[in-house]
Amino acid sequence: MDLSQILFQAQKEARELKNIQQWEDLYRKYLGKKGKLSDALVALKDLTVEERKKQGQAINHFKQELTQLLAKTQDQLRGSLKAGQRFFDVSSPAVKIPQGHGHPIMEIRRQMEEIFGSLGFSVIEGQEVTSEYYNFDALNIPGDHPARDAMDTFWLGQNNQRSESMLLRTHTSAMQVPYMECHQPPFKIIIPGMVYRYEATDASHDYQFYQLEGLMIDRDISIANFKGVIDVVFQRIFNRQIKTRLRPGFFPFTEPSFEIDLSCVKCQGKGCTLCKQTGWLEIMGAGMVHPNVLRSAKLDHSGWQGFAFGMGLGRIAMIKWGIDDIRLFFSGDLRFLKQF
Amino acid sequence: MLFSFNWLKQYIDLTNISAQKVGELLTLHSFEVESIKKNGSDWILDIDVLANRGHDCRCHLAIAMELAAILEKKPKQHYQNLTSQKIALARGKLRPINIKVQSNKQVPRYAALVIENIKVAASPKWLVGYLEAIGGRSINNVVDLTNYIMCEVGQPMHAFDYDKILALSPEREMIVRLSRQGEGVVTLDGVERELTAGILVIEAGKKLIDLAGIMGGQVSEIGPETKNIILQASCFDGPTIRRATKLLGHRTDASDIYQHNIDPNLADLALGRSIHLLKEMTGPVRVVQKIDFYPEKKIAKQIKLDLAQANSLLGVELSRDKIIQILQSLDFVVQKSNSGGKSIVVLAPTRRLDVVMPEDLIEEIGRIYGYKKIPAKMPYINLALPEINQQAAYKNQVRRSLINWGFNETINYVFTDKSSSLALPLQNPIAKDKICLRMNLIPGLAQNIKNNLKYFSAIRLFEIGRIWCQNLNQNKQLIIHEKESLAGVLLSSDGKEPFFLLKGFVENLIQSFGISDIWFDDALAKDESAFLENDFNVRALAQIKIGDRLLGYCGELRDFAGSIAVGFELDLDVLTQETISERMYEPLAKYPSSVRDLAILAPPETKVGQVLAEINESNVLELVDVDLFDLYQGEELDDKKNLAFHLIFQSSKKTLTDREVDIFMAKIIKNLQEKGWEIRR
Ligand SMILES: [Zn+2]
Repeated sequence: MDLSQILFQAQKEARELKNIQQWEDLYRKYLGKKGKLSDALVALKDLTVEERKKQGQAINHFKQELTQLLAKTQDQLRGSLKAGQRFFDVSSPAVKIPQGHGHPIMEIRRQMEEIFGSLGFSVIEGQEVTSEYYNFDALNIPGDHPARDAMDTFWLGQNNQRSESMLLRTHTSAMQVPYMECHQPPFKIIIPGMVYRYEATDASHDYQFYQLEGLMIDRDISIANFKGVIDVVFQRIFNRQIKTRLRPGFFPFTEPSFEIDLSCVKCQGKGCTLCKQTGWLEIMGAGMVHPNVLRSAKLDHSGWQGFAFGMGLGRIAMIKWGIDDIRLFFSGDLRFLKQF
Repeated sequence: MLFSFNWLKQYIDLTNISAQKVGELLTLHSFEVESIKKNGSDWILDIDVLANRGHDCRCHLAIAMELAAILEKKPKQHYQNLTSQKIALARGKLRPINIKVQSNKQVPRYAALVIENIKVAASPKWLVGYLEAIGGRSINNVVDLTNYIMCEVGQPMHAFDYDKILALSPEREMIVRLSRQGEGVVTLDGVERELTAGILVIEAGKKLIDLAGIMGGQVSEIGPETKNIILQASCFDGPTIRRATKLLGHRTDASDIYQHNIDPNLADLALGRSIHLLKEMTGPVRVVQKIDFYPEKKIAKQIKLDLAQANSLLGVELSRDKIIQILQSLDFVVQKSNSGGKSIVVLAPTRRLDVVMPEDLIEEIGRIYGYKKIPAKMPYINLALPEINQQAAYKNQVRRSLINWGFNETINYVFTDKSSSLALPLQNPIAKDKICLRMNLIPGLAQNIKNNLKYFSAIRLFEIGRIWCQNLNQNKQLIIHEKESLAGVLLSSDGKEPFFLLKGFVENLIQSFGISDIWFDDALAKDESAFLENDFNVRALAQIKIGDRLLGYCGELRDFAGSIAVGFELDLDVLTQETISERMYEPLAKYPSSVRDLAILAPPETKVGQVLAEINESNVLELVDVDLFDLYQGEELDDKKNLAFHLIFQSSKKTLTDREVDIFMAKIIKNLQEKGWEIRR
């Protein structure tokens, strides 16, 4: 096939074009899916390696010439159509409008507020600096309790000049009793906020992290109700059918206590690296509010009962978006933040 | 903690049940099984025993009992069966040991047996096998026995060489007491340990022979030469042991159990079981003395359980029989019920130190029945609107606006290296550059910009977060203030003055809260906040005010070579308080407006704000708006400033005539000329 012959023919036809319809036909004939260029490419496979190399270069040249020719004739046709009008190129790039992004943890928080809000839960925010009493003693964790070891604490200095020891809350549960002291049941609240633990950092631990606490107290609230509520919440958050399971756990401020696992969102429970082949992801701790906690808040513990839970929103964000290092959340790295 | 599957099978029939199935059942009903690994013909389960069962479940028998309850099977051997043999006392040649417990608060029970003529030898194969399977090491039959009993029934034990104690104390006196500062002991691992005060120790002849509940001393160690032993199965106070392990920086399997408190009655089981096994291993055993310091015997606790409460908390309808069956399967004794079968009285075994109230029993019922079988049910409750959280709603509004304007939300760590008398210091900072809580958000954001410069030339960031400071009140007590703050920073590369872009964002943001009387005042060096000096270029720094109230700051940031970064920080509490959420509609103007231009030539130091204020104060009610549309300063104006404004006049009562507007203009011009500004025509 003589490509220069074909090119010559195309140039001739191009000169005779009358309108854009004809131009489109011409385009199809030469550069379309079943056009001359395509034919030339198909023919390549029958050649020897040496020939193929040579013919390949010729095809490249042929393609360039054709493309230029067609672009030029198109512009000419356009120009004659819009004679007297300003040339306008809609393909030029848009004006860059700066696009902001919300923080992934705040995005999860917002969704949680929306879901729990539609179930009638109020959003409460408390103090991050609180007393030893509210963080520990009021939650049935006295001074010598082993559970204090598991929550290594940042203590604030100059305690000799204060009436009580102050600390950075180790969990959002520290807000339970202050809230219950000034509200009468029934109530249902969520408490999102930052918590702090004195511990070494790695890809899944940080000394500062974001929790969401939940508390629901009424006359007849049960474990069955807790399951009902969290099932719908996680289905909404992950936007799919999610299974949850409860297994025994231990927290001094709930009784019974349990850990909640989520069927792995990545492998749907078949086992993968995310769930360490178990099919389940540990998602939060929960339980039925301990009578001593109700006593701390001066509530009549025989009349009221309910559940409390606490989850790390960073953990949920990590599962939802496949983030593999918790330290990215507070890095301020725009390459990370701009993805959400 | 490691458990051997074959070992568990000693106590419960697990034929046709795989180790994997056992792992799953334990995870769902008792404790999480973290791994299951093959070990020859055995499986090793790594079980994460919960902290509230540390006192009774760190042993094979207890895990087997859990499985028995879960599988609804009778255990092969019961606690009671294990101690069926009474310990018979024999006459011997050894003279009795005198135990003196000086700190009985820390020692609820001290029990031990003095055994004569024991043959110390290598352990039998089965014993070595079990110990090694769970990561232990065989030493000799006596020491291995104590370790085996601990892993079997959960009672830590220790064996002393009788004759070595006799050598130290001819009066054969052993004193259990708390250590004094500076005492020392060489423990079985050969480490010489210097003690602080308050660690529980055992002394013989002025020499320490044991770190009670943690590790024995080398001086009374069992060796091949040992003939007579003192076999101890005691109960020590958990918190005392836990404190001691922290003081020593040393823990052992024994202290891991002791620190949770243990059942003092367990000693009987452990001692009976050891004599039984010793006989099996070495033939007849002569127990010549029983030591038992046990001032207050622990008895089973009675708990009344309301069956309706149990079902209400679990959210199921379990029959009375089912509840009783579950409790009995866990060794609880159910006594005759009263109140017409609506409640039962339950005796908890003394080893269940964790069960003290009805809710504890309900947990036992729930987990053995299976949380899986409890159906998910939405609660039936009265419809009620959630409380309005204005602050949270405002924060979301701020977030939405800033994100729409191209700002990226960030969250920074709250610790800083900047200390001041107002900053809150940490008692135990995690690093040298993290000694205080932040007092402002701007420094963190400025750092974010620097870190991002490598990849981005245009940066917009904001953060909403807590800041802290403290001061002394009248009673000389430190009062902590925690506030919610909002800050934003902007770095642009387009060469325009970024301060005014940021000012525009700040104005828009504040106006979106219905606040109109905001203005920007010069921030002076006297402004107390030290952070202003550190982080802002005071040359271009403004106070943001609502009326007389300070809302925050806005200005150029220090230290950005090449490009100018600007930032603002607002007190969100003030913003929330000043917000006007109720708005009224204003009728649309009925009559057209007229626009006149006005150009003023003023000295270079004149501020636009001053001129605007004067125009507005000319007492012309019909002047509804003033816009600056041109600002020029140049040599040909003798360095004076040319300011050009659009003045918009409108009346709500009629269409203004040219003549009327001329009069208004004249009034305004006169006022400005009185201030010494030149009007350009
Ligand atoms: Zn998976």
